Amino acid sequence: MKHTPDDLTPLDRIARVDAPPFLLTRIRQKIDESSRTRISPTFQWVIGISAVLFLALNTVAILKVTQNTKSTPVLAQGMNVVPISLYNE
Amino acid sequence: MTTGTTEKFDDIYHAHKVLVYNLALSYVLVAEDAQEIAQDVFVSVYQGLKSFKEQSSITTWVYRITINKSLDFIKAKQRKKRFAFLTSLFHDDSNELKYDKPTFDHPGVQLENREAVERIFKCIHQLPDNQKTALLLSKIEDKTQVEIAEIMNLSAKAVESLIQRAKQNLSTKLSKSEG
Repeated sequence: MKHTPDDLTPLDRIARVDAPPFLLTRIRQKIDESSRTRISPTFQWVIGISAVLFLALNTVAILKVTQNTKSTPVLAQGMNVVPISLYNE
Repeated sequence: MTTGTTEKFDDIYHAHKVLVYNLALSYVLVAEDAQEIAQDVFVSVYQGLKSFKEQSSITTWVYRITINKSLDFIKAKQRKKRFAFLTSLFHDDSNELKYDKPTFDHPGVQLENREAVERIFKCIHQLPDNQKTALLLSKIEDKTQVEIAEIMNLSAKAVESLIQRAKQNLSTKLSKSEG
């Protein structure tokens, strides 16, 4: 038997119900909990900028060390200084 | 909560609590689940109050949040059910079923009407999300196609087509469920 849209009439007999009286209390509790655990946008920006600065400074420091390591033999040659090595014969 | 925000939120809550609860009930059919969704909806409303730009009415906005939260809840519940097969279904110390929750507990449905309503809703919930939503807003919330279009951010023509397809699919499913 094919159902027509009229067979949805039982849905018309569904009563509208009130929300439970304790609902607002629970909602306020959840809001208070979420505001305590939430990190403020300002704090998030501070952490983010600090992390970027930290990475940038470390990158610059590593690059500088790398450059110094490469230029040491050239500098030594220019100054007629032989680098001391225990393994040199 | 600041005083101004609290007052505004309280007004919104009292104006929309019945709408949210009943719409959530239409989706999840269990009072306890609808309460959980309603709580999540109003927490989202509170958190979104400051950034709400009034591009739509507050009621439309609340409808959208309720629909999204309800659909997310249903998906999460389906995922949990799938995982339940991989874990023990019983509590450790007893033979009490862990996942034996009611699937139909709608306080607005009279006992004599329950079987018919339950069968219809079970078929409605097999429809795709957009057809399900359009049908529930039309049949349960008594919204016009224009109102549904605004809530779902569609054209009125698209809503008309959705409802038509929903009714056709529902009719087929109801016929199959009868046997």
